[in-house]
Amino acid sequence: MSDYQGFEEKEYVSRFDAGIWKKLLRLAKPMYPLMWLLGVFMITTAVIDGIFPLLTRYAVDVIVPALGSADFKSRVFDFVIKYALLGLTDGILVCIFISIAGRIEVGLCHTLRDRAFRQLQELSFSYYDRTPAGWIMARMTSDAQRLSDTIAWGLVDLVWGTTMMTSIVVFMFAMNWRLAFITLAFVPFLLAATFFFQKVILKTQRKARKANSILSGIFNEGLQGARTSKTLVLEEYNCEEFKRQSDRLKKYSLHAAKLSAVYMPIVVFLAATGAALALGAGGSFVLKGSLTVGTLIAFVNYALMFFDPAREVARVLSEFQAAQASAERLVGLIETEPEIVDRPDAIDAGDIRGDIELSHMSFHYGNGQWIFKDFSLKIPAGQTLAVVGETGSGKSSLVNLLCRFYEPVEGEILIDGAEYRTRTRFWLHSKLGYVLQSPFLFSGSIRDNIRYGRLDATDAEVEEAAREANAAEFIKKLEHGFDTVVGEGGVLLSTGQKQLISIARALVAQPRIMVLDEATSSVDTETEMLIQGAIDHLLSGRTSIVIAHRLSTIRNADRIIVMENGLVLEDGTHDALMEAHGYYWRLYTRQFLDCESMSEAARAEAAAGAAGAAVEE
Amino acid sequence: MSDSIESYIIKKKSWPRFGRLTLLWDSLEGRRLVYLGSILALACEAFFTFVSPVIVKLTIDSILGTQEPIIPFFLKPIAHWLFGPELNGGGIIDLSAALAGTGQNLSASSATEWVWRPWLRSNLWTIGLAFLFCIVFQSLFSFLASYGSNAAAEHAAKKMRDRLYAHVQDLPYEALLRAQSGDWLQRCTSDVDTTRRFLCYEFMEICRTLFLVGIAYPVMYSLSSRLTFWGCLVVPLILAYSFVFHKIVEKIFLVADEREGVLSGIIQENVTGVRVVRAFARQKYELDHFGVANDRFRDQVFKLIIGLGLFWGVSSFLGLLQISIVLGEGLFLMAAGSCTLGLLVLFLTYEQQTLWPIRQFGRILADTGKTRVALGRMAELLALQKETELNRITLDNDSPNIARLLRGGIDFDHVGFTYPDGTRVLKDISFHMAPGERLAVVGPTGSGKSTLVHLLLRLYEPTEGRILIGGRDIRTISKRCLRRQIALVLQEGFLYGKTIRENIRMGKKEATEEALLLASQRAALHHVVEGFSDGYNTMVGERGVTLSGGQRQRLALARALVRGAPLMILDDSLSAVDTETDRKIREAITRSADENPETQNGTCQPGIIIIAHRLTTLASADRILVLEEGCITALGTHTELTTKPGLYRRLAELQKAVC
Repeated sequence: MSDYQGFEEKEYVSRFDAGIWKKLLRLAKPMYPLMWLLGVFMITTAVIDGIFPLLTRYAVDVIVPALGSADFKSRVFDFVIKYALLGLTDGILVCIFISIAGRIEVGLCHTLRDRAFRQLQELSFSYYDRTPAGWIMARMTSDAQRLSDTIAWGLVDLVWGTTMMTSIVVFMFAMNWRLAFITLAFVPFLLAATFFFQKVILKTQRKARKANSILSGIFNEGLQGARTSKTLVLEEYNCEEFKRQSDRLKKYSLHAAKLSAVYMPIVVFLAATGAALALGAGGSFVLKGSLTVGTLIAFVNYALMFFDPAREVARVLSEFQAAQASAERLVGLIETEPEIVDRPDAIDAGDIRGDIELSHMSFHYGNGQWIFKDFSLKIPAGQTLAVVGETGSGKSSLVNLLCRFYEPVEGEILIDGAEYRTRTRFWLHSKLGYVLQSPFLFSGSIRDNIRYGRLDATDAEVEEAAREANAAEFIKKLEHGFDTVVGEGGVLLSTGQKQLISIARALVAQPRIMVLDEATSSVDTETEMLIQGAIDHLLSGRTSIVIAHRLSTIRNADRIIVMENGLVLEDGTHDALMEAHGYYWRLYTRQFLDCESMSEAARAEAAAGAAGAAVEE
Repeated sequence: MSDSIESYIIKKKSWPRFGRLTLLWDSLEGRRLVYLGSILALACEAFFTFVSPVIVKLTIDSILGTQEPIIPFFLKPIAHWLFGPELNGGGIIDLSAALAGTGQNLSASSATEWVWRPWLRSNLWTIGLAFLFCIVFQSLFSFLASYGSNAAAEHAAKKMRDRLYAHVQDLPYEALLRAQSGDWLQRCTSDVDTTRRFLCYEFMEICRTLFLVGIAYPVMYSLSSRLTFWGCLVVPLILAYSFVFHKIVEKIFLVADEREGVLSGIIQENVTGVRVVRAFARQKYELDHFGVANDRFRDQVFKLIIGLGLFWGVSSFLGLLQISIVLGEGLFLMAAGSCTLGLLVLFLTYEQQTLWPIRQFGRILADTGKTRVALGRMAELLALQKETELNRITLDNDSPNIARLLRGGIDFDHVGFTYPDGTRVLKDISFHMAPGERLAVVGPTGSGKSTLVHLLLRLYEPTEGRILIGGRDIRTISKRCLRRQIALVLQEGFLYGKTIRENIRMGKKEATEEALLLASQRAALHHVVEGFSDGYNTMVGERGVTLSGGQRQRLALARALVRGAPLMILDDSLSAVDTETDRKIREAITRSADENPETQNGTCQPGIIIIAHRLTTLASADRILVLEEGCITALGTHTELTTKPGLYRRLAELQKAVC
């Protein structure tokens, strides 16, 4: 699908886009004072770092010649204390700037996540329909992390690195401009090599990362498909294929490793060339008497110190470039316009009776293909309506519209006689019960999950709902009862049990309108009967719309509509529709028999067996 | 049976003695010498790291200054070889010739002056060159160490990945059924990576630090024991501080990790469960929930960073304190005449070179704990028994021709089966399936239908009784041979993330294009595929088209058909296909069986076992086997069974009523 390709990880953007970074920095506005403060601290730290070789020079040039003098002891003490104090200052500065940068990092990350999560709560279902969950997760976790990391620590290294290089150059020229020229001759080469390598290394690392994620994918597939592979005897073939991919990963990783292995020695060598030049040329200056030994030592130190900041600056710049893709994606997420919002004048009109009317409604999804054209349907309060039809007939879209997960393009949907867009979404949703086809539970206790339906429900109400949903029995059998934690790390419930809990969750909400997408998944006969009983409970006394799969649900419904291509093909009770020998009859015989008749037969047999046993007695 | 559920799930610390070390050692096989070599290169690099400062010292003291040249012991052999045994001639460089060039002679030099000084003073470039020479070697060895260790580590990582993957592929069906894929994936990816990092980075850093300290301190001691004493003063403090500190930080880190997990969990739930959140109007509740988790994670990470800031700040101060102590003591010693300027500079350089690795040392030592955990987790996975290691009692190496054996039919002889978790699903199953028979199996959910056919492929072994093909106990036939010649289509067959063509080809690697197309036609898949713009090159799965349930089933069927197996088993694998297509497919399968070359030779009739619920499907079979709660309750033709009361007749009546 071409749609999916749009979500392929774009890892690298070649052109620097200031606009994206500006948008991102605007989000970081509360951090501006901290950022300035950090800049000041970094400059101070860098200058102090640059001063230490000058102290050594002072010791060599000033204190050493005076070693014979009377007060030399106090001078040495004085010097050592000053040196240590400067060291202490440096240590404190390091502490402070790391804390400030950390504050910026976590603050920024917090803000980005918060903004994106708020956005996620607002975004319409159309967004979720076209965006893979993994994609959203990656934006929320790794992209937010990477951006705040790059910005905070990038700022640290960038300011420190440039200040450090500047102060080294300034100190060198101030001490001896001729030797400075000679010593710094290596710098252009150093910078060129550093920037070149950082760029290439990043590129190869990206390749290796990609190969790594492909390999994880293959591994995952190998795990998911292992049982099928076993029946097809594909074990060896799979291993060969895996080996090919792991070879690729090895090749790319080795390439990246080789580049890094070459890079460091080259940079160290270049820096050492500077030191050698300083030693050779400076030595002769010393011999001529135009340079002190202390200055010579300082020059050698400075030359060796230079490559560290150069490397940091080059690294940060290429990281910023690499992080731009993350920035684009995250800013893109935050700036997506939600399609369904409450009108400014929308009101919460209190209770709902449950009359639903779709009036001359038309609807299509983003791709423009009409699902409904001039569709009208009335559901009186309290009616149970079963909707049947094949995949693509429009039944899910009908539910989406009724729940206001989407809104009609034309026409209107009236609830209790009022167009629902004049009401708040909360008004509808707080009176709506919704049970999904595949039950979704949150991590947490069973009690928490049921209470999700109504947050102020008492424990007694929660347990009552569980009883009505036929869930109380199995819950009580669990070791921790209602406080059993579900999901990862907790008890793994069967699909049928989860469905019972989600029904209890809908019941506790005491909704006026019930929407149910009935599950077809095969559960054992006993659980199925429990679920059926729970559903009967759920539907009674409220307006209910059921996308029905089970024979019994359909038969018990007040009214059945058969949908095809966005039209109501047939409308009536089960008996009336079977009588008509039309579409419903065909659908019924074809679609429902396979899944249903066996359990029906088994139930009937069991009942007959029990009856027989009773008779024999 | 010794077979319990325990053998199929990962157990903590289940690796054999020295399992973790052995794993590491085995994975290095083929690159052990390279790895050893890179450690040696590391030693050489450390050696040259200490040579260049000596040159600076010599320059300051004996060339610019007038001190007597002192060479540290580790350089003496080289210096003697170059400059002579007493450093005053007789070495490989001809002293008199060199001095002649400077216009001086031996006697002219003063008594305290080093004989080489005049020549070196007028040829200072040689010092720069010697300095560079050292750096070149240092760089060369640094490259060798880094590249060698990376090569060995990548090699080991690849070996571990391949081994883990192969192991997973070879695990028994039950273990795979119980696999926790997220956890397993982590064991095979990030745990491998942790170990790789240990080999190419952490262990190398540990060695480097040991070499540096091992060379630096003896050298320093040989030059000045007093200065060395002062120079070592703060070092143990830094080391201890760094180690203890990182142990503490690790705890903060674990909490942060946990909180991050909570945070991601909330995001994940809100993305996948967005319908529930919206339907119950719980946006505000979720925002609050997320807000708390977001705050808690932020605060913990900040705590972690403050901790790290404290570490770097304090250790940086301690390092500078150490240097100031050396400086001060050096100056005092100089005043006393027992230290030269060059020596002081040398000490300062050495201190700087060793302090950084020592600061890191504690962190790295603390980090190695992660590698131990990672290795353990991998070893636990590898400790799971492979399919071939289970049921060792039986012969498992014979690969007879199943087609030929099938001429004798299949016999279930008092077969019983209990799952490793204790669920008893089959009880005393005995029946004979004639060669070429079409047998249908029917029964309610949980009656043991799937298990019955799984036993036939030895995905599980019967816990009682035996299964015979052509009179031969299948436990004497190799599992792979059995599976190669019996085609089983699973209820929910897995489709690979490949093209449709490749997916069908997974059934038989060497199948021709014609065979693929034929299988696809018979599975009523061909016209569906033709409808796709990319035809058979259409990708399936996450990155490709979403196939409907019926299409998926037909693709899985085509994959099985292409194998041309003498026995075909369909485990409820046409449930999502409509009745009409179902009929066409069944007819096509029968035809394909008739065209099987093996069959034409008359060696064997094709057999089919179909698990189904549809009456039309069941009625078309030669015989129908009814399973209820693990027991055979009826076995016979459609006509026979419909005349007897029971589940089958009830089912037939129900379905007839509506058709």
